[in-house]
Amino acid sequence: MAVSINTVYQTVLYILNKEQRGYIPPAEFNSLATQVQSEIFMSYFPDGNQLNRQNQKNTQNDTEFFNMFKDTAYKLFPFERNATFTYNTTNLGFIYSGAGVIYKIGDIISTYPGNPTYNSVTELVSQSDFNKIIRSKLTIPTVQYPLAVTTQTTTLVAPSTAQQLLVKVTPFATNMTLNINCLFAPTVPNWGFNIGTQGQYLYDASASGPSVDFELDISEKNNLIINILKYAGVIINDPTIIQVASQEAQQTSINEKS
Amino acid sequence: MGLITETNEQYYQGAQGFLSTGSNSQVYATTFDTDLVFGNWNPNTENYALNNFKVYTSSNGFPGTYVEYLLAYTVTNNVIDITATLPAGTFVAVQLKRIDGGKYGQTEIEKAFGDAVEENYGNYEYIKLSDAIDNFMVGYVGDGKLLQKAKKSDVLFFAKRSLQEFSYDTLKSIHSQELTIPASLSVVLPQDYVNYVRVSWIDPLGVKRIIYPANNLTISPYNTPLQDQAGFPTQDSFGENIEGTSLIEEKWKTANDNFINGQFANNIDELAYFQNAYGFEGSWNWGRQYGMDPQVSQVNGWFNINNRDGLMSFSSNLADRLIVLEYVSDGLGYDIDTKVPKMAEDALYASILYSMISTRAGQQEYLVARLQKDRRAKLRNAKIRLSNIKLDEIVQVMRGKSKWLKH
Repeated sequence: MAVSINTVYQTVLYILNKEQRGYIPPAEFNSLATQVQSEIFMSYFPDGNQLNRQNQKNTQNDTEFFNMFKDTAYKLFPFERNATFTYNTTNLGFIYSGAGVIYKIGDIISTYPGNPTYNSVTELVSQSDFNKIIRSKLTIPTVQYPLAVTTQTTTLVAPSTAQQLLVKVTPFATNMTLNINCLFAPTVPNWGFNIGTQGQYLYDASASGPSVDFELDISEKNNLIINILKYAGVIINDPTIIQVASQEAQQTSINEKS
Repeated sequence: MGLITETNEQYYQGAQGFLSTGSNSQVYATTFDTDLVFGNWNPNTENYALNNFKVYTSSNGFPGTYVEYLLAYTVTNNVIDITATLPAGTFVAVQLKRIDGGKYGQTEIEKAFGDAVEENYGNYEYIKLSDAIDNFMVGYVGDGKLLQKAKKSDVLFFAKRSLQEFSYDTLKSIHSQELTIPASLSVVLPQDYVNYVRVSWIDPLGVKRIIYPANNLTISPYNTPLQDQAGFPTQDSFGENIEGTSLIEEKWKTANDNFINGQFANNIDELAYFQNAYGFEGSWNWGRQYGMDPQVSQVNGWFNINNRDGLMSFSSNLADRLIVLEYVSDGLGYDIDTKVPKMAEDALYASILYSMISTRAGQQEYLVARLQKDRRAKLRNAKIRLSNIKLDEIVQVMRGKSKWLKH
C-alpha cells in the first residue's frame, strides 16, 4: 500500500516547525521526496543481497512475519509487473513501449506459437557467454532453451527520444512474443497544492501535477519522514535535525539487518 | 496430480471424441501425450501427408458412421479450430494415425494409417530429457541448496553429457538394423552409430549367428596413397596425396574364408590350394586340428569397420546374408525430447549435480567426493535395474547347473 505524500509532508512540517526551526516549501519537499524515495528503493537491492545470505546458509527463519528477506522482497512487489515486449524490425530486437520506466528485468518467457506452442524460460546471458554457448552443439539455443542478450536500440523508436532497452532472443521466430517480469522505477512523488486566500499552500490531490503518493510500501513511512528530515536539516542549516534524523535512520537500518 | 494424463481411449486407440455445441467457435483442444503434427487440412496438398492425425465427424456417433472431415481447419498448440460451424450435437473424433488405420472412416482412404499411436506405446517407461532438466532446476538449484544458482545452459550441457555417457553402457539404448549384405560386402554405418554391440547373421530359423570382428585378421587402412616407383606418395595438382583403392580390402573380399577358419580340411581341392599357396607339404591330421585358434575357428564370418569410408565390411561368405547390426548411439541423435528411462532418472540428477559441483571453483573436496560416490552408487543401481535381471529367468538358467562344463 502506498504512502500518502500529504501525511509525510505534514509530519515533516510539524517536526520542523517545532521550536520554529524552519520551513520547507512544496517545491523543495517534492525534490527531497523524489530523492529519498529513490534512495530507499535502491537500498532494497544491496539489502536483499545481504539478507539473502541467510537463505543461502540456511539460517533464515521461516516465520510468517519476521523473515527479513521476505519482507524486503515484499517491498518490491508494487514495482514488479509483467511487461510485454514487442518486436522492432528496425533494431532487430524486442522493446518495451508501455507505461513506466523499466529499472531491472527478471525472468524472460519466450512464447513460440505453433504446434506445439512453447512457453520457454529464456536465459539472460552476457554477450560474451552468448558467443560461447551458441558454439557448443550441446547448448545451442532452441525453442525450448532460448537465450537472450540485452543491448540498446541503435535507431530511435518513436515516440521515444532516447535509446531504449533492446532484448534479442535466439532462436527468433517471426510470430513469437516476449514477456518479461520487470521491476519498474517508482513514479516521481508530487505534493500538489493550491494557493489559499492568505497565500498559504493548500493540499489538493488533483492540483498541479496532480498529486502523486509515494509508491513505496506503507512500512517505509517512517524511513521516508526521517530521511526527508535529514535533507531538510541540510537545507535549513540545522545540525541538530541532521544529527537526530541520521541517528534514527542508522538505528532503523541496524535493526533491520542484524 | 497423477503423471498419466491420457485417457485409456487416448492411449490405446489414439482417439479423442468431442461433441459440437453448434456455436460459432468450433475449437477442440486435444490432450494426447503426442503433439499433433499439422501440415494441411486439404488432402489435395502435399503437406496433408505430414499430418499425424485425422478428424472425423458423425451426426449420431454410432460405429461406422464417422466420415473424414475434409473442410478447412487450423491447429495451434494441439487445438483444432474448425473454420465452419458444425451443427449442434455433431460428434467429432480426432484419430492419431495407427498401423491398423483406427476405427473411424468409411473407406481405406479415410482410415488414419501411420504409427503415431504405436510410437507412444510404452512411453511411461521414460522421461523426456527436457522434463528431467526442469525437474533438476526445481529440486537442486536455489537458495539453501548445494547449487545456489546455476545457468540453465550449464545444466543442459551436463545433462546431455551425462546422457551420452549413460547411453554407452547403462541405458538400454541399443539400436538395431536389419540389413542384407550386398555384393560389395559393405554396408553404411547408421546415421546415429557410435559403436557396435553385436553383429549377427540370421539363419533360416531366424536364429542369430554372431559375426565376429576381424580385429587381428585384416584391416581397412585409413589412407591408401598411390606411390611412385621409389615408394613416395604421389600428389595431384592441388598438392594433395592421390588416394587409390585398398588392395588389402580387395584381397579380404575375395578371400576364401575356409582357409582361415580351418574348414578347408574337408575339401581336398582347397587343401591342395592351401598347401600350394603357403608351401605346406605333407599330410594333415584329418579331423584333429591341433593348434586350432578358437578366435578364428568359426564359420559365421567376420566384419571390420572401414573408418575411411564409414562402412562396415564383411567377409565374402556373408554375401547376400541377412544380418542384424546392434549398436549404441549417444541418445542425443534427434532432439531434446530424448528419452531417459525412469529407472536411471535419479542417476541422471546425481550425475548432473556432481558434474556441476566438481567443475566449480572453491568447492570443498569432501563434498565433491561425496557426490562422486553418490553418482557412482546411483549409476550402479540404474545399471542393475536396467539389466532386467529377473529371479525366474535366473532360476531357469541355473537349472542347467548340473551339466558338465565342456572345455
